[in-house]
Amino acid sequence: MDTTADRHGLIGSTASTAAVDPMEPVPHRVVDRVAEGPGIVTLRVEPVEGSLPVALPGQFMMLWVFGVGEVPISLSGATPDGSLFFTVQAVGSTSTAIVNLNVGDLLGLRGPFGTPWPLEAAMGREVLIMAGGLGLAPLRMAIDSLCGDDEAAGRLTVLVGARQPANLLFSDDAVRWSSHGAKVRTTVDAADRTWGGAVGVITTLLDREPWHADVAFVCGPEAMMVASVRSLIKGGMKPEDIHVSLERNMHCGIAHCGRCQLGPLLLCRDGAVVRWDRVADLLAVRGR
Amino acid sequence: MTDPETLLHRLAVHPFLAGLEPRLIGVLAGMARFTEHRSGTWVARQGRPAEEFHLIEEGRYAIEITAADRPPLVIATVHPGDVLGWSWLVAPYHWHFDVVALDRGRTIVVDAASLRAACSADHEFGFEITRRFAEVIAMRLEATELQLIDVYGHHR
Repeated sequence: MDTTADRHGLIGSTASTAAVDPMEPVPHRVVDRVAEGPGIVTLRVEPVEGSLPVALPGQFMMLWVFGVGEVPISLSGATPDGSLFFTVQAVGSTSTAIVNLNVGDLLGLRGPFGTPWPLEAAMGREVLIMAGGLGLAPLRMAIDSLCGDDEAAGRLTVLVGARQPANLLFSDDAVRWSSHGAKVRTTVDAADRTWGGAVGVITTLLDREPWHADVAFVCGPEAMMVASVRSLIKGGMKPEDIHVSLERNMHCGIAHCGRCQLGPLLLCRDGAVVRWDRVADLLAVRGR
Repeated sequence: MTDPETLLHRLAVHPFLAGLEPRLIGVLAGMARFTEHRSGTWVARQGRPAEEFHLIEEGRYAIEITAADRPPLVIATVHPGDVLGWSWLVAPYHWHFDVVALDRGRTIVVDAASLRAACSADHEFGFEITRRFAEVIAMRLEATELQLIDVYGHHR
């Protein structure tokens, strides 16, 4: 089958996937560990035996630390040889256990689950990506994919926001994306005077220079996404051209348990990537 | 030395004044002049009289807050095309933050006392100026809201 992943070279595991039970974790081994910032690491994992279906940019997997628990984590990368990358921040007990894994340790993976970034809708169009904090991780594969084509990269703008300079992720990638022609802009919410870049919330980047986008991908904390989308719509974008990545309490990954319900949506199946016009009213309800 | 023709042109092309009628640009020009700052120059100090605002043409400027028990924190940088300073508009007309030039900078500086007088005397001019600053204040307020909730922090 000619999938989006095939066309953009985003091939995850390559072996047959016919027999994979979505509820059964497939053992993977940590083969590399990179500290990205305070409490944030990127793990590169490879299957010990068996394999998982090809993952598309924006999809997530359930990562199981044996004896601790399981959490949903979006992929931050995949290579043709079957390696998968996850960028994880230590927040709760399971994510802390993942961050503390070392090279050689095992963990279980289920997935990939959910909807991908609609790269087909982005082809040949002006694309604006807004990533806040760890939200750059689920967008990394999509940006890599667009930068695989210099023409597409030339139509790509990436706006990155973070809490402080130490929290900015993938600095080397940003240089590479720029070298392909993408316009990359970065800001932090606060800094000391040694920081040479911009300071201000991510939406200030939209105010700073003229922009035009046909399609936008937004990922980060929900308050950041809401503020960003508000600015994009104020700037003339249509809600149906804006896609966001939402997170709730994903658990089963196959739309059975209902824990990730948001109104009529089950986000493990209908998300994580959803069109803004489908969720704008849902997010306006307090407590959802 | 501020050449009047050059000043009119540079005011007219500054993004903050986009769409402002030539007559009103002319009013503003009467109270404006060019200025330059070396890196590290204090442009404003918290609590001091806000006697001017700046239209930034070159360089970056840091808006800082300082608490007694910690080092200064940059909460925003302003860049070419931005406007710096709204404290002149709100009594008692004192700067709310420290501002320092991060690079060699160039601005058009507008005298606040003359501006307030002109806004009172010419309501069309006053409305246009106040409307633009209201947008800046609203934008900064929204940014402050996001910073206040520490959007990238951990909340359990």
